[in-house]
Amino acid sequence: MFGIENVDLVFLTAVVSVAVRFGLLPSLLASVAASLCYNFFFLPPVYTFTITDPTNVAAFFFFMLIAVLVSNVAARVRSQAMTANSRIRTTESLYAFSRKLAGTATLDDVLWATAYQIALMLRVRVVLLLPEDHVLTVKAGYPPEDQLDKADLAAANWAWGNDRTAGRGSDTLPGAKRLFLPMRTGRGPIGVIGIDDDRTGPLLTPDQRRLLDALVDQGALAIERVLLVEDMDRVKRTVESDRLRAALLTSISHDLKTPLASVLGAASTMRDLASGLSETEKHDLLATIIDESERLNRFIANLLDMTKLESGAIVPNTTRQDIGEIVGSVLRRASKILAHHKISLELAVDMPMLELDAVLFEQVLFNLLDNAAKYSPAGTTISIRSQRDKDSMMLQILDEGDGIPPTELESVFDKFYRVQKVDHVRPGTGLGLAISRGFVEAMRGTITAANRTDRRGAVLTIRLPIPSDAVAFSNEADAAA
Amino acid sequence: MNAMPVKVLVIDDEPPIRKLLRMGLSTQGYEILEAPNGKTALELLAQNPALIILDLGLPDIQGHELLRMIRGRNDSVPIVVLSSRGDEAGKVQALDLGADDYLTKPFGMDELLARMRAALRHQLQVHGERPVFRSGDLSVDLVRRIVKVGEREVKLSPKEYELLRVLVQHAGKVLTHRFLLKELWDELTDAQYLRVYVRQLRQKIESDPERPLFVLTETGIGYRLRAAD
Repeated sequence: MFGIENVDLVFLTAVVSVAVRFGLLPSLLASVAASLCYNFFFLPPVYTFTITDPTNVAAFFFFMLIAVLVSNVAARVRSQAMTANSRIRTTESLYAFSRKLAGTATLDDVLWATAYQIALMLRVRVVLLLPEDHVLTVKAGYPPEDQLDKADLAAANWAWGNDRTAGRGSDTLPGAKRLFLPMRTGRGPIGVIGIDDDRTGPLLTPDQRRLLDALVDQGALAIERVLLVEDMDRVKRTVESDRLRAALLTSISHDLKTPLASVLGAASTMRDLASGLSETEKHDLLATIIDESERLNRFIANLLDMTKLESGAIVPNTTRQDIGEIVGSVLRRASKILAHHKISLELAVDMPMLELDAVLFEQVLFNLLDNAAKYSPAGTTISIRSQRDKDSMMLQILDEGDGIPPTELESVFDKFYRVQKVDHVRPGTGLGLAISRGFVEAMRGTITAANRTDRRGAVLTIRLPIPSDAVAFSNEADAAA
Repeated sequence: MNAMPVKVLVIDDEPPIRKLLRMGLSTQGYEILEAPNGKTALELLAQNPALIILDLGLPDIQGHELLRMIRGRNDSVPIVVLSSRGDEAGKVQALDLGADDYLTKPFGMDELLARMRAALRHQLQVHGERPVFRSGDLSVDLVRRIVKVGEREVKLSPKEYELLRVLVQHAGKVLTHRFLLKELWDELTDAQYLRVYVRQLRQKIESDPERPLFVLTETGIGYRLRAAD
């Protein structure tokens, strides 16, 4: 058991626990109480506050001194631990907030998340304003808010223009309902945040103010990031469209001017030099004029198709169509460009009717045949095959040309792409396949390029879904009238 | 063409096109009336042209509207419309409004002359139908209902024969899906039926049904039977 000498330790323990649990003031009270108890109950004469023995007087004062010192230290530890804890919570919240912001891609979401987080952590109402066409506009709020009164708008604009705090509780325009702070990043100001609440008196404690700054900084960074990404997208699109424009210009200057030059040359020769020309030569010149004009016409048609595709103006008018019929009609239309090739038709006999836009699909086939004729030598065969493959219909155009370099099987569908030959560029727009892909996809099909496995040559494959209620109509079927 | 030249009214706002048509058509003995706009066209209608070539893109009156106005005053004169590529709906609308045929710009003179001949011939046929239609190997005796390819007689189902008869009656002219459906069934019938019958008819009268010579597809518009010889 304790001797009298140890009783003071028991009291000190109590003082320390009070200090750790309840802080400085209670622990000082506890120190005084403990000292008095120690004196009253243990220092002779007991049950009085008098101390007779001088050593005990010293012991009492030492006890009191130590109790006060210990409670001070313990209380400081406690308050540090509490601060640390609250910092950890704040840091955790900030971290969670920054993670949330990092995962947010659109400006609206970032703004909303920022407003919400600040409102939640500081228990205030928040509005966020960003410049839109050089006018500061409310972009988000928590709770949602889309209008500010005149005084607030003036304070917000002042904060934006001077990059300093304005409004409620500040030096400038204190009459405003809200307090406005500029949001800035290393690159400069990006917006203004306004906060208010229903309480009177100062809006924020210094700690809250520091927290607000941290939150605002994070929000500002996230907003800047999103804006930068948008800028980059815009730049990328501009670059892309510049590249396309360059390709378009090259293509136009080549593909428009070449046939035009032939037409102009042939026509002026006919006019100026007719007397020196034989009938055959005149006939040749006229044929040139007609052929080249038709080429020009095809090119312009391609440009129009491409423009329509790009602007989203292609809305397929799909009905049940007989592929065989469209093939027949395109062969008639393309008879001139296919004049130097043999055509082999291998169409499945039980082809179901498919959901197609006949005009678009005919144009797709025309482009593919035009391509096949262009990239395979005269006298070779171009085959058109169709075949059912489970729930889709496959239509293939096969040529006997050089095929497509394996690395370029996908890029042949790019706009203005042409298979480059060492010595020259093939005539053509480089648009045919891009248009074909656009059209086929608009009709829910796919189109792919490959090289033939049975021999040299390219094969273009179109796949189209077979409607679930499609009736396969065989050659002998007699439909109900 | 004998003493009375056939009058053709050309309605087009492009002077080079009118000049071209004037030159091309006069070599064939046609007499040309030129109208650069809808207003002049309506005035020239009084001269009773035998055929009208109408460009749908005019500066003053919308092409389809002018077509309606012309048909309002003269319901029999053949009209061939000139239209741009890709405007299938506009062509179908023009045909449904009473145009006899269409040509897509740019076109060759041979195509235009063929269309004009088909339109003019059809107009004559309305008055005195020839009993036997011949085009290449195909012959259709509309009185005895006998269809032959070369010397071979072809057996057609009643509906197939009806389809062929309608096509023969308008040989050389484009017939819209809607027109054919209306003639053979009713307007509400799905064009799918028509495609099935066209396919069957081709199986029977074409030597290569996949590359037809007689029953020609006008993609997105309708069908055309090759003109009579």
